[in-house]
Amino acid sequence: MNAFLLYIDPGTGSLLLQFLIGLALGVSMFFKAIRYKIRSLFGRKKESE
Amino acid sequence: MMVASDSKRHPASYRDPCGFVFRHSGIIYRAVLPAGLEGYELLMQSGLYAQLHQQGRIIGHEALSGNELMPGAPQILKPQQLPFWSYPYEWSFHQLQVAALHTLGLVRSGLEFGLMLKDANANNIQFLGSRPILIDSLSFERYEDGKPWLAFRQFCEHFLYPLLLFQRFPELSPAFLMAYPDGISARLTASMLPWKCRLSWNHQLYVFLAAALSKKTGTSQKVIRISKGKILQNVAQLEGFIKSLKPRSQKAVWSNYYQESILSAGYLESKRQAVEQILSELKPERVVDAGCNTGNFSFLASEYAQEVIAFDADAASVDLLFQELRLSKSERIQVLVAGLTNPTPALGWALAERSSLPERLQGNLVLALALIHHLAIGSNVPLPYLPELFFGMTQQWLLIEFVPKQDPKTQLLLQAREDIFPDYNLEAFEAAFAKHFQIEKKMLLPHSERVLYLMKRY
Repeated sequence: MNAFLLYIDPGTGSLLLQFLIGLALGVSMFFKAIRYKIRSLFGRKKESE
Repeated sequence: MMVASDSKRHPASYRDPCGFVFRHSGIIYRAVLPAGLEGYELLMQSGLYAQLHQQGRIIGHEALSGNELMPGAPQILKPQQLPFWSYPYEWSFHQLQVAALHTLGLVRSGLEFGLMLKDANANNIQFLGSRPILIDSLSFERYEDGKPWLAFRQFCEHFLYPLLLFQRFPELSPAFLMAYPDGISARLTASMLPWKCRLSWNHQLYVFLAAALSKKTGTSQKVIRISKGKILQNVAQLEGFIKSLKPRSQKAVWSNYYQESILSAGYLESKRQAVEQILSELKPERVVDAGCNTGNFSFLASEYAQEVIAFDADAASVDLLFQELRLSKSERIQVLVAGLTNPTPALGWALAERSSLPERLQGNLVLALALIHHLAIGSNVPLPYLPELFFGMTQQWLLIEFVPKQDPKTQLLLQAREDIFPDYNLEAFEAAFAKHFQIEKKMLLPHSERVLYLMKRY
């Protein structure tokens, strides 16, 4: 990574934040998918958001 | 670097080592420096520019051959010249929201073409009517697999956190952002938002977790890898979050002006006809609608003028105007939140980065409809001060409505206060304006005691 590419300070902790957000969203997507599967098993077509 | 004698580098353009903006004979150009050449060439060759430009999402530019204008720059661009500039601290809620979603869309499109939006500065977005456009052609760089989105924090500070605050505190003026040219921090946002926001998953992730992590220092962040899928997931989540935000109170101070007005429909109709008559005769190139309210007359003016600059100090009125503009798709009306008694100042380094409202406000015709009683009585500005204000804004014409003291609207302003305005009358008004303007037409508006003046600048 070139030094000049960092001329906007990515922020202390902000890369870590991105990583954690990625994890959190991944987990929530996983559970959403499971919930959707279970609902479809019981014949419920629509997922209430 | 050698600079051609009459090429002047723009004072706002010093942050990016990839290039800068300069002015030559009144025209804005962009110089691409060696550090920015790769990003620029990728933008052009990948097909990203063609797509964004065709969709009207990025400013168009002409690549000039030769660099006489700015020796030392490997590439000079001549971008499409914009009719008007407004700054994020002059945008209403929906303007900022639209600009935020536009920025996220650019990240998404960039990634499709193997590029990354490296800069998420709100000042890189301008409006043509209600259409947001990216004005910085050097905002993209090659996307490297696994590299996080470096401008993510900047995006939050320039867009997400201000939106959250404006949503939560509808009384907060967009001018609040003037004090924070680099954006609002997660910590400030977290400290201002009420406790119940902690119950929201999105607030937890993007505000409270961000604020907690921002206290961390000196971790070895360079090893963190984020996949493209994760970046897109983050972008999608942000889009959903931002779209869900609605200002808590949509009710504008003046937005009910026309509906609940004690003024008769006959008055409004005759005023509309009189204004339309004058517009059709003058066909002014550029109209400034001062105190535009929700823009009834801005839309009317846009039928005759090429460009209308409409502003009002009431952010909620401007927001309604902007939403109407989105439906009409007109690009002739540029809207902003600003007032005349406390106009946007020049800001930034040496006060030269962002220009003041008076520097930008120039028209061939200025509309000052149902405005003068607010300035003279609502804000105590002495009548003799006012002609100079309008003199500075117009190159030719001024269409101004005098609202006398006995008018119900003026009486409303005087209701809760002492009448300290013995000199507020038609004679004093005409005498004051006579120093700077020639009165060309004078019309009494039916069903009222208001008088409409067409004046010409000396």
